[in-house]
Amino acid sequence: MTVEDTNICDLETANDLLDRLTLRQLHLMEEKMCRELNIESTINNGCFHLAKSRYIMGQTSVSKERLPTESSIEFSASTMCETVEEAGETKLKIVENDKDTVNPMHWFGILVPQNLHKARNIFQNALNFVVECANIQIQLLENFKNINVLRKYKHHLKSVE
Amino acid sequence: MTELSREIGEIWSRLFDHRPFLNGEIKFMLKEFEEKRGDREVENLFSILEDITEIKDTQVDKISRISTTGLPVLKEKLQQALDLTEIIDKDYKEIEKESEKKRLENKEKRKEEWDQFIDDMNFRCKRIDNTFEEKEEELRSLVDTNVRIYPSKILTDFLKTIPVSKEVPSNILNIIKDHNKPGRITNEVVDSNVIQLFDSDFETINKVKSSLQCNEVANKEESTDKNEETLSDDIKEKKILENTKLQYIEDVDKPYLTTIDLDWLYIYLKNKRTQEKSLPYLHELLEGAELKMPNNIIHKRNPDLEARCVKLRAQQEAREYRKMTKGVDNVRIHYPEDSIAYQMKQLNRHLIAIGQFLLSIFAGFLFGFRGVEWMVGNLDFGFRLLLGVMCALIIALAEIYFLAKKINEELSVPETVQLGGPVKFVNDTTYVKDNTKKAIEKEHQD
Repeated sequence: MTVEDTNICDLETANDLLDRLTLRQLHLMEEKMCRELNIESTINNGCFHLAKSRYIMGQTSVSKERLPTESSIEFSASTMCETVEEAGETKLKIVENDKDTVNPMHWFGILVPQNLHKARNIFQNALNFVVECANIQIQLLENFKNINVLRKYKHHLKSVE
Repeated sequence: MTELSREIGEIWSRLFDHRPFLNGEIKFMLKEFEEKRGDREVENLFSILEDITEIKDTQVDKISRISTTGLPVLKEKLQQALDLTEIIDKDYKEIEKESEKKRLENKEKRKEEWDQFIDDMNFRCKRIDNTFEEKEEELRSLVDTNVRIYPSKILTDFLKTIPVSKEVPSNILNIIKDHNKPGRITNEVVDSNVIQLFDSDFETINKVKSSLQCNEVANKEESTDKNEETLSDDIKEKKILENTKLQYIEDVDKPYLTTIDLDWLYIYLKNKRTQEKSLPYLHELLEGAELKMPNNIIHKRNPDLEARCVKLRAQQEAREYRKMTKGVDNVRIHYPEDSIAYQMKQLNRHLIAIGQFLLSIFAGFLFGFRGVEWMVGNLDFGFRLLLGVMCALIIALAEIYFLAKKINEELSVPETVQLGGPVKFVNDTTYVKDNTKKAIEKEHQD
């Protein structure tokens, strides 16, 4: 068993790998924060446009009552998400869905101001950012698991020596 | 016989003898030409001769005298006049040239000024854009997205052994020299290729995972030993954590490191390990170091804004209350719907809306009927009618939509007169008591 273990990797490479994994963890954390900031700013932007269109169209046209409730017809979302195995890592990917969807613009009237269209585009962008964040989160968890595994391995090697 | 010959002779002389006639004519001619004329011509000639001699005697001399004196003077004067006009012409040409030059110069100057003005405007626009972006940035809650790593004692001790050189990043320099300044975010660039994980690394990790799983399955009998080992490890970790807890308290302005510094440290350690074998590894040094994430800056709401919000909310609630109690209050139930002014205004509004609707439709029909014909040329009457009706129909549909929207707005018409006193009394607590009195006052003030 010891022979096999050292064939896989010796203490030095294990340590080096651990170093790099720790650094990668820190970098991933920073990246995740950046993406979250992106989400925040896009949602801010989108809400701003929503507020503007509410100002244009009046309080009753753009309000919570226009959203579909539980008793309305069921429809499926126009943007779906699926897990994809790419290069050994699982990732989430956005997939556009065409069947059984409802155009949310119709909830607010027929002639909607441009701001509402812009808000919709911004929120769709935000979805992309959300998926990116989720991917980074997956990577973070993976990395953490890898660190733990390597540490156990290291202790195991040390105890064997 | 003789009479016959006499008469024949008479006829013959009357026919062929022209002498008397001729004589008469000759006499007349002579009389006219010679006698009447008389000396007329001769007298004319004599008078001409007289005049000429007179002129010859008196006038010719005078003429020659005067001309000899006058003509050169005239010539001089004419020459002077000519010279003057030449001078004037030259001056005029020079002035024209100068003015042309000045015009060109002014044009150049104006062009320069214009360019400068445009540049200035561009610069100002850019500045405004920049300030806008800065304000937008301020709206973001985080500016600094770097993770801060407060080093543990082990790390600081090790860092102090690093020789000071130009390549050492400034945060690490801080710690080495014990400056105790708060850390900074640096923009130093570090080669990130060294730190990347490669495919071979992932393969090793997977192999290690699988081997560990085998070990766990195979060595369940040794689990007690393992538990002891892991227990000791846990105890060690707990000790480290306790040590770091003491550091939580005073960590506001301590020097910290960023990930870039750590990257640099990793590369440094890796390079140095080729010479010395016993250098500690980075992950061992980092054990117990404290990580700090940047916090959201909490902006407090501007107190002016807060006061205004409160006031507006109170106004809104007062308005809703008045709307609610409209049907109950004895005074306001008749006002304003029952006053004639209000009804007239409403009637006018509706009539105007309908008038606009009809006018638009009519104008559309006219365009299709007449306008298209004027633009294109002669068209068939039936075709023209069809065009007119189509245009009118399209316009009618659009106008109906807008009319419907307008009538929908009418249903929620805002109050035309604010009963219950002006807005500034909204915050009064005695509002309800003085209600009716104020309403009456307001009515008469109309």
